[in-house]
Amino acid sequence: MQAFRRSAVPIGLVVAALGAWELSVMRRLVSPAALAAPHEILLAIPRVFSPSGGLLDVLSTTWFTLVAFVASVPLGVICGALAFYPQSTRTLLTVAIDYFRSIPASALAPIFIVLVGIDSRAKVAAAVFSSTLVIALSTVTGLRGLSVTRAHVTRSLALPKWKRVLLIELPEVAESIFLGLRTGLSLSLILVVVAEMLIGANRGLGRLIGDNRYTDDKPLMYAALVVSGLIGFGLNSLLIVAQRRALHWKGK
Amino acid sequence: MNDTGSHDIVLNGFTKSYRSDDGVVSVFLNQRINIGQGEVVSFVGPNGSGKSTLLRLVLGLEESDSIISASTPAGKRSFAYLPQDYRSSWFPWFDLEEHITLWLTKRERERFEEYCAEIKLHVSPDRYPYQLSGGQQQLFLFGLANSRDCRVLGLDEGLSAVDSGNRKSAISSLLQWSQNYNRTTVCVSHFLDEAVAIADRVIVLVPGKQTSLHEFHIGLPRPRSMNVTETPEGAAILASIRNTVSHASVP
Repeated sequence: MQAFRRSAVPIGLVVAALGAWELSVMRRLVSPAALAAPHEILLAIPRVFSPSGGLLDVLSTTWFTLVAFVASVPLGVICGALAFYPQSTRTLLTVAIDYFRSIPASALAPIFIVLVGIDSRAKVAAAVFSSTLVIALSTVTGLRGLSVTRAHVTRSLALPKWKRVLLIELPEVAESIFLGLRTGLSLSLILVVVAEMLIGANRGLGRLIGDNRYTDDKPLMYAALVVSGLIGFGLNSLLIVAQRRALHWKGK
Repeated sequence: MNDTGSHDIVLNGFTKSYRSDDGVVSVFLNQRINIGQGEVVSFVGPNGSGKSTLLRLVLGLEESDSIISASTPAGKRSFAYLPQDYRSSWFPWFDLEEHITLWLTKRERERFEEYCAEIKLHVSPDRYPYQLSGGQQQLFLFGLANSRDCRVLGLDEGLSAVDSGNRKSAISSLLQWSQNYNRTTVCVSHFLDEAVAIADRVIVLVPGKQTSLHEFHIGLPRPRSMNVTETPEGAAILASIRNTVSHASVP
């Protein structure tokens, strides 16, 4: 009963918002050429997943997001470690990573098209580039905050340097790295979708959304948007589960 | 003459300012500490008197602001170190077995097992540090440090959460190994009576704008009981240290 009362208000709010949306489209307060009604979007979602419809687009976007993300994980951690460990170049490289990360990644997509050509390689390259930089930065940030006390204990163990880095220091900053992974994953999806829209790809949710910008099939466009959100949400949830398992000792 | 002489650890004319627990900046001004090979030295003093800082200086884990000459183990000789915050001694992503492999060689491991049997510390090696109680964690870490075949052992109040019975057994084991292997041992201690019971020399830190160090040689014969300060000789030494320190701390 109490649980019901607690969830009644948020559910009510969502229903009210959807109702207002539905009404404003039905009553033509908003042009149907710009916005589809919620029920139309809901009905269009099966088309996004149907083999004759957008299924290949969904799979393609998910696949390239994953490929880019998975490639950027070791690259990012290695770049972060290379930027942190040689003390003489630490500041220079950290600032460089921070600068390149600050360039709006979507603006880089056209450059990658010029560099690697108009195919899936361009979108993967853009996504890898951005995701790698965020992961590298979170690795450096973590390494900068290593516990001084633990470093003293580690020093007394006289481990070879590679062991110290791989067995002690990188695990210690795993939580910070995971923070970068989650941002990197979101960025990968963003860039893959943006690239699909920009380069006129023949597959992908970005293409599905881009192509229907100027058609009457607005429900399909919005359904594709909803599905891209679901992909991002699903992948992020998987990453959270992985983080909880990998960092089982945290908070204990 | 060689500056380090026959001493294992030398800090000659060191100056170091540090922030104590309550945020006050104190300083060791042009102080000197020599510790001989195989000597057992205890640092005692109130909170914030710089005991932990002094231990790190002596081990070479921290640098003095200025110093005339120094010889410390870090980077040159084998040493083991346990900080006051025992949680920072763990690598929490490793289980106990992995800690043992990281800390100890095969031969050292035998000593460790002996120690565990002695103090009846029975924990399954596939458990993680956070699955142990605070006292068990300290006893385990103490055992790891104590089993290391090292020249210098530095302990910073390693047994604060351990009950008095286990505390005594663990310290006896420490003294036995230190004596057997002529291992230089430096301990930060909370209790003056405990410091007197274990050490060849007690160094009392008296805080002030400049921290002063007061040395006391403990000539009591070994092996000693942990209750040695209850004997007339022990009690006399304890009283004389207390007396000196209380006079020194009067402004």
